[in-house]
Amino acid sequence: MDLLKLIHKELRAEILNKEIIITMLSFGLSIIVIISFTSNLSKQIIEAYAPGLFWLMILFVTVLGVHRSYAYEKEFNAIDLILSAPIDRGLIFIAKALSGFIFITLMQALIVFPYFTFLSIDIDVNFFLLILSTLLINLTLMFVSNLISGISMRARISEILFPVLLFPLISPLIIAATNITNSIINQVPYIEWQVWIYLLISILIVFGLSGYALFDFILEE
Amino acid sequence: MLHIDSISKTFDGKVILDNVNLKIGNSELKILRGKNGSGKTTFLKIIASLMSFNSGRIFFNDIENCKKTTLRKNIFYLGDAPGFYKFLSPLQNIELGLSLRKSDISKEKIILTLNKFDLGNYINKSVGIFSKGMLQRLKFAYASLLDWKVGLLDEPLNGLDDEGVELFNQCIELWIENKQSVLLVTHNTDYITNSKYDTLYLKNKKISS
Amino acid sequence: MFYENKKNLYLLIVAIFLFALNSLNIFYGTPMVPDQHWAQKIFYLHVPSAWVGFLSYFIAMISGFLFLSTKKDKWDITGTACAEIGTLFMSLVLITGPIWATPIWGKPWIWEPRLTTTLILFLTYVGYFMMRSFGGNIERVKKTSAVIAIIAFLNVPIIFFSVQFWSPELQSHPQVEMNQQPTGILIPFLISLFVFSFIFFVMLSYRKYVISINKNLTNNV
Repeated sequence: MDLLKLIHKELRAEILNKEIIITMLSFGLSIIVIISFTSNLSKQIIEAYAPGLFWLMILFVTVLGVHRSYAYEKEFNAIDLILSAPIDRGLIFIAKALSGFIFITLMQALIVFPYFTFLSIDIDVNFFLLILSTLLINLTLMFVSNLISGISMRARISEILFPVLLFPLISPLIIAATNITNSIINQVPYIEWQVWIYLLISILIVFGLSGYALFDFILEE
Repeated sequence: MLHIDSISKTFDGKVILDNVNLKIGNSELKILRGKNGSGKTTFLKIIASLMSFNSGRIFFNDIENCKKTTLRKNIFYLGDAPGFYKFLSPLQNIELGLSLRKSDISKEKIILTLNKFDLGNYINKSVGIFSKGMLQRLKFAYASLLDWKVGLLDEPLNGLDDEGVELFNQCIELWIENKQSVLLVTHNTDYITNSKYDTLYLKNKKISS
Repeated sequence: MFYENKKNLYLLIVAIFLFALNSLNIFYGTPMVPDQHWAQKIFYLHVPSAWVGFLSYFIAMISGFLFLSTKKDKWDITGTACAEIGTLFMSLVLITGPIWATPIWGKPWIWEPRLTTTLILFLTYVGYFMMRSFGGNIERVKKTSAVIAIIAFLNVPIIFFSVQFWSPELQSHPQVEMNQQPTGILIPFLISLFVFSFIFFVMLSYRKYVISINKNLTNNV
């Protein structure tokens, strides 16, 4: 099970230096504070905008976190250790995406309370549905962003190239995520927003498969 | 064991290697020399199937078109870059590399090998604090634990002290005894003049002896 | 030189001639649409530009696939040339779109699916060109930009449908159903489509020539 070994490596790296979670958490918190200062408007506006702002924050946090998870591979050319191994390189992509999924979910669990408290939003929703859909969005987000991060990883200006490439490609996902969370908060029946779930699943399939198939080319010298 | 048949590589239209041929048999060591930028590293990375090439064939054990994973398992490239995770300890790094190569060497044997390379006191320290010479020793320790058939060593003598060179020579002898073969790139003239092995030159995009 | 080859020279002259004829035909040979008046004329430029842009990006994707599988430089050159020409025509779409929209919709920008897809593709290709210029190791840049060309085009249906579901009230593309057009409009439109495609292929062969010349120059220094 090469995949499990690779995921184990990602998790061990994170447990040892906690770079990714701390980066994401501290950046997320500071974004929330800035959002509170800049959106001192009526309560209705904030509540209507809350899902969009939430995913905007998650997108920024993802950029930093995922970039970090590829940056440490470049230090000491450490990635050579797994590139020289006889493994399917597509699995490196899957492992990075799945461990990124764990990190972003963990980070969200920690940040969701300050988010709603600082912005004084009260919601009363179907939490089961909200959590389930958020997990699917996180997974899709990680597949797309890990593919783009792999592409920009060895570029000279990877920290800029990554968001410049990611933001346009990920816009359908952000539209879907905002609409899903919005619909759940406003208790819209599932039948009216199921199309977004289908869209998410198709993004997951397209980017998951192309990432798995193309990662060998991306990492080859 | 390994037969390279007219490999060519262009780098954005510029020819780096032009129909290069090479044969390495069992228990053979060959030294490859060449100027800086003559394409030695490129050549080694192509053999190790870490880099793509434009035309040519690679035979391993007389089989053409081996799967990339087969080549990567049997041909080991030891590069100039450390290639270890900074925050992991030597033990963890080696365990990760070995497990991805499906090798079931015990922890005791790894520790024994690390001791042999004078890294016994650093088994649980992170690799990030290692000096260049220590990293070089760690690379040899890793290489001697793997079960490769052909080793491609890219300037392995850089940053080694006399004791390290001695260890390196022991490794080479052990590998040759084990029917492993080695292609060695080095600029170290002392080493080349004192060694009993064949020397090849990479000149004008071709290999000559 | 390129135009010493007589065939290329004739093709260029034909392209210029056709373009002039086409422009005259658009101004004098097409009927006035009552509620759009002169504004409708831009339709004959806007839609063919979009067609050429998408065709160009499509060829860039195919070249990307071919480059990754064959590693032949000519596919990289074709891909780059298509990316450049595609971006040129996409910018034309993004300029003519608002010019057309202002009198018809009353405002220059509406999040209409086709226009939005064009914008997002254009932005993705901004990242593509950043990769080309600041990517670093040229051999790796060729592979990563082929990958970008592939995923940028695979993303097109996803963007299109996400925008369509996102703002269903904005389906009012001024001239959507081509088969419902009277022949007085359809025939000149098809002529314009042909002329634009012809110009595209002339531009492509010239651009490919210039890129390969550039490569030879830098390699022989």
